[in-house]
Amino acid sequence: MANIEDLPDEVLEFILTLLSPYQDLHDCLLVCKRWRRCVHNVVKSRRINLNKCISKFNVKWTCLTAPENNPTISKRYSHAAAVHGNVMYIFGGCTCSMTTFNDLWKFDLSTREWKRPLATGTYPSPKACSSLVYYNNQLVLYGGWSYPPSYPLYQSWHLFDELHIYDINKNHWKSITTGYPPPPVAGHSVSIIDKWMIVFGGLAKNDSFLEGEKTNDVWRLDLEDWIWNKPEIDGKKPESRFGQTQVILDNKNIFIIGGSGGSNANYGDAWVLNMSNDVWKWIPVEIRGKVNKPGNLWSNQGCKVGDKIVVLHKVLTDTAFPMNISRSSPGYRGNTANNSARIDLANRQPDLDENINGRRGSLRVPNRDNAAGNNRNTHSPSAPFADVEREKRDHGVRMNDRRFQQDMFRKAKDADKKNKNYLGLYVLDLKHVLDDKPYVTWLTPKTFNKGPEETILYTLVQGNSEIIMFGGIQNDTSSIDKLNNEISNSIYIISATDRII
Amino acid sequence: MPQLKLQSSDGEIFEVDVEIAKCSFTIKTMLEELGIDEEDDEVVPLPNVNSAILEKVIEWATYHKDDPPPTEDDQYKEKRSDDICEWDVDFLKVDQGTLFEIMLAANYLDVKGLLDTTCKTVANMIKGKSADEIRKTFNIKDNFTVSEEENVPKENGSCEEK
Repeated sequence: MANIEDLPDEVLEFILTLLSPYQDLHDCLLVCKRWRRCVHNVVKSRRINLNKCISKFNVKWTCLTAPENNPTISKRYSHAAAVHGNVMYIFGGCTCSMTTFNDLWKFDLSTREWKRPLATGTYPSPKACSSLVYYNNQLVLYGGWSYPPSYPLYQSWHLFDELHIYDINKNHWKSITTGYPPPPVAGHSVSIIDKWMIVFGGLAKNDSFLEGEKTNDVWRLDLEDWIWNKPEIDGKKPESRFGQTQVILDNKNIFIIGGSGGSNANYGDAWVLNMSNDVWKWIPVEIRGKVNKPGNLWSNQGCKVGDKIVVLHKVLTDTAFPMNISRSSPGYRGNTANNSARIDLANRQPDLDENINGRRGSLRVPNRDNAAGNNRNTHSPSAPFADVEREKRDHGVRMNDRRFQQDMFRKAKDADKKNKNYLGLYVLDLKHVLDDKPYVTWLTPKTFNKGPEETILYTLVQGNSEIIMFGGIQNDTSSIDKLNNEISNSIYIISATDRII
Repeated sequence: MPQLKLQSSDGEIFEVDVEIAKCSFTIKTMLEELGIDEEDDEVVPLPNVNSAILEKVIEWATYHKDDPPPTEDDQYKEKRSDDICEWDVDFLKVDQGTLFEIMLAANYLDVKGLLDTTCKTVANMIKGKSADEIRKTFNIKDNFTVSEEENVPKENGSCEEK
């Protein structure tokens, strides 16, 4: 009688590729020596395959839309995300009206289901643009901002310097009082190296400023004794910025690229922060292939995969290539991006989510009376995403103009015919980033696999041989009448196209 | 329709349509490379497949003979194991020994569709089971030493190093 042991390795490995790369595959790792070897081979070839597909821009987009009646995270953008083990954690974020969140959600990558752990302890404030990173069975949450309270008027955006840790095993939030803390900050970037959390840039609020100002400071927090210090750094510094992409190259080097310095300053430059010596050093990095770079690099943080950084940004082609989005995963109602976009357009209903405060007021088509207040905010340097907000509010103001309204109506009718922008891959090759003359290269796209409609301020994290995009807000100013519907709680999985065996 | 004679390991001879036999890539190449003519009354020996299993394989191939061949687009389809067609589900309601023998035959004869569907069946048997349950299901011996087992993270396990 034949037994599973009689199957040749390649057949066993093929079976293993049919399993979810999370819990199921991990269980197989523990079966016996041969299975462990095969699992390792599968993991390795999956990783190589993903890297190869990214280099070729030939990836597969899978949209996961939460089934109704299941507990699901509400729509949001500018939230924070971290992956550990089989779970993607999402904290906070905001809606485009008044609400910032302080909820923590777990997305189980094995079962593709959302869970909201009801944690004990001291919760963080509701906030967006904070940083969330894994360290030693804990998540470290730092900084962020929240909308000003609606009354009294004319309050500024609030920036936070609070630091919390979420103990994954105990399901417990703890507020940490740190020593010598830097000023409150949001839109910064962080990396964990050994027991250090390295923080760069963001919008910070010094005592001398009434409101936040972008910074290029680097801070370092000791995650064992919770003391901050500001390392001495040599060399020319990058311009002050927020919303940049920051990745770890090795134990001594961090890479940053892009970010925003305000309304008209979108940076595309790249730097290495070298931490080998007592005095750290900023090293400018040459950028090659600039013709292939994305249009901006501050509302779309990239994700490091192997020796590449993947950035999502609108692609400049429209119908030349077929939409490459596949069907659902178990437990999820699947949609192609096309379908979900259509559904969203067709069912523009107010968001019924009770925990969105914005709905309780008469929000959010501003009229002339409060336009002045809105404009004040728009020009506030502390409005981290002034560009987005301004566009929306300018639209709001113009909505009062009846002629404009008619114009909008006509435009909305035409919207279906109009070409929309879709997200696609931009790939930065880091192979030579640590050379004596360091350079990075934006690769020439070989194909344009389109994803969902253009979205910004989502999160992009790496899972097991896949990249996971969550949330965000559609960067489409033609559909402003129902603001909530532009915000997303969809998950898009970017993975390798299947290898033919 | 031209017929081909296949001989199983235990000597039984099966007459099948050439087109059906050709869903085995192994037989197809054999016919092409060896130039075995359809007119010839030659018998193709299949020393690795016994008659019971060969009969199953032919049954499967006969049912699926009109399936469209895999296309380029297939690579964009998500790899999933819950899309086994109903007929196959019934067809594969066999004991484990037979299932694995069918898989070995499908692998040897290179019948891609059959190998796919059987692999999916086995993947579904693995899904959601702990390592211990997998060992019990397939009667696999745990050959780890204690220290090796301790090497692997048990909780929140990720099989991939980042």
